[in-house]
Amino acid sequence: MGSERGGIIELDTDSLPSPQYPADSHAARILKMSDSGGAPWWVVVTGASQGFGAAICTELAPLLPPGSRILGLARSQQGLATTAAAVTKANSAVTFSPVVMDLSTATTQDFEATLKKYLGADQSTPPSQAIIFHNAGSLGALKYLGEMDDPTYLSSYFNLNIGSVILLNAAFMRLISTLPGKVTIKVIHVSSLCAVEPFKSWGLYCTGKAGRDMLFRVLAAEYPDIRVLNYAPGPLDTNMQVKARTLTRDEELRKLMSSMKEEGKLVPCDASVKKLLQIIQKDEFKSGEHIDFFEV
Amino acid sequence: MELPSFPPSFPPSLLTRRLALPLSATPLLRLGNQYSRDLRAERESEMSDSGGAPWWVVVTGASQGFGAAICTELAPLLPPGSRVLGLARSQQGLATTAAAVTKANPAITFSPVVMDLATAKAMDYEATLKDHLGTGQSTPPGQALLFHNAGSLGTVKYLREMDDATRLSTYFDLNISSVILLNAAFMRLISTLSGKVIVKVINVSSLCALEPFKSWGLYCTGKAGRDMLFKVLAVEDPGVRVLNYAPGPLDTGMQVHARTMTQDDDIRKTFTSMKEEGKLLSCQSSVKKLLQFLEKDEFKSGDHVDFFEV
Repeated sequence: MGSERGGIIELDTDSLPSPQYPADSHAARILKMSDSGGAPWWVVVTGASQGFGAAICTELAPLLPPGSRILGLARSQQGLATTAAAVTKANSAVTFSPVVMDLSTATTQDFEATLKKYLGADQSTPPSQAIIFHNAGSLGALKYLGEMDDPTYLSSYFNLNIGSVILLNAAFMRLISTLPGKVTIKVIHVSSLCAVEPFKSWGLYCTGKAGRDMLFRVLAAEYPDIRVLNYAPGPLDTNMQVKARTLTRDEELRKLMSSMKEEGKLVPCDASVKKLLQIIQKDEFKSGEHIDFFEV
Repeated sequence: MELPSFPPSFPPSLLTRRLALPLSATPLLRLGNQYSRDLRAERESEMSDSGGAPWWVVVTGASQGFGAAICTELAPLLPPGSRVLGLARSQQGLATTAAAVTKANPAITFSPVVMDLATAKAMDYEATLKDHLGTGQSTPPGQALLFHNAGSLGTVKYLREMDDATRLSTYFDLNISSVILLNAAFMRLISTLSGKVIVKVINVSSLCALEPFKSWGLYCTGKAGRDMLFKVLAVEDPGVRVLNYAPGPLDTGMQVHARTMTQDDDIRKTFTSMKEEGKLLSCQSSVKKLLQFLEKDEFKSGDHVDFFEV
């Protein structure tokens, strides 16, 4: 994840395998995302340097119409470079723009400038769809609520996990609203079971996720023309999961996380992303709904 | 778009939804309730007798509205020698509450403390609790109650218009973080006391924790987050009684803000008509229900309960 309290666990990030979809395959027909016009799509993914965010980029890339643009935001330049290479390999007709950014301190001006530069600058081919994946997030200090005593830390936590989402989403929507023609907007929030169920010593993460789910339900109510989805991806095999099974204060929960790893019960990112993309493609969900990987 | 109705019907809330999960995921869900059952028997034997031992009570946003009503309605029910600590930014408001509390029960102490929760540090809370309630060496209270009432609506405009990082930061500093910090300081103090103290933590919640309201993105997000925060508290500390109480639409300063500043026309008109039709609740009536509910003590810790449900 990055330089947050509780320590960092760095793992090698090997190149992600690129999915191969022969043009006439069943998968290609089911998952083909482009509409009849073939107009390019614009995609924004936060936390695009690793884990679920990187998988979103690489799984989505081959399904996008030529000329589509993906903007990947994260703090790790190296991670973004890895994602960039994987995306280009998966679909060389798509542009991936890696932008190093710390969401917890970015201002609206930062978001507006970045979106404009990498998406909005070229007005010659407006997109037919614009999708934003609010994926970046952090577990935060995995200790009991009674031990919390640092207001600066808490402030920073909610700046990243709630504040930045509001600001980026608003900047994104404002940009799209300036475009000519009809642009279908889809807003995907990477949620969690933690948005719905409490977990001991995960007070910050649960609070943030529950707040975010509601945020996106309000968004759905305010803007009925956009498609909003709260997607809980299941327990993923990522760096965040490593932190979960090593640093969780609650012993029982920590052991449960460890055993999930040992018993091979963690979900590969690409498997969960594939399900997410199918849900998006089918487009039958109620805007603002919370859908879990295991429910589908 | 459907207008919210009051009294509301209650569609299944996000927080109580039952997901159809396969067996592999259910162990995660079982953890939460495990300790509650074990400790219930112990708790029931404690509740029968708090004796005449004084209580400690903390109320945030005690200068007006619901917070002031909590103080004045609770006061006459408290054993002599009880201490009520009222936190707020308004010295004048706190003075009014102090006078009302003393009138309601001169045998208890009300300590008004001016404090801005959005910027207070852990040590500020610790010092205030120590100065006005006690320390680990004090005679333990019979009950210790903390009402997390202070809060703000925030900017009531559509989410696409949000563009001020500092304002958002301050909003969640007040409505989420300060609650975490104060609650932690309170629990740490209680944990240093000798003997068993009955502890009740009440989050003044809202229908907005369960249902989205257009142009109330900040408030809904904060309230939904807080409800979950207190659910986590409930599972982490099974010995503490935790309640998320939604008081209904109250006739307060916050309500005035709601019906005058809400950007969404539908929502704003709903609030205006509630006022005109006399459908707003008095703080006293809602507090009375809350106190009755607390006294009965039958709720599941961490539950969300609404004025209209009780």
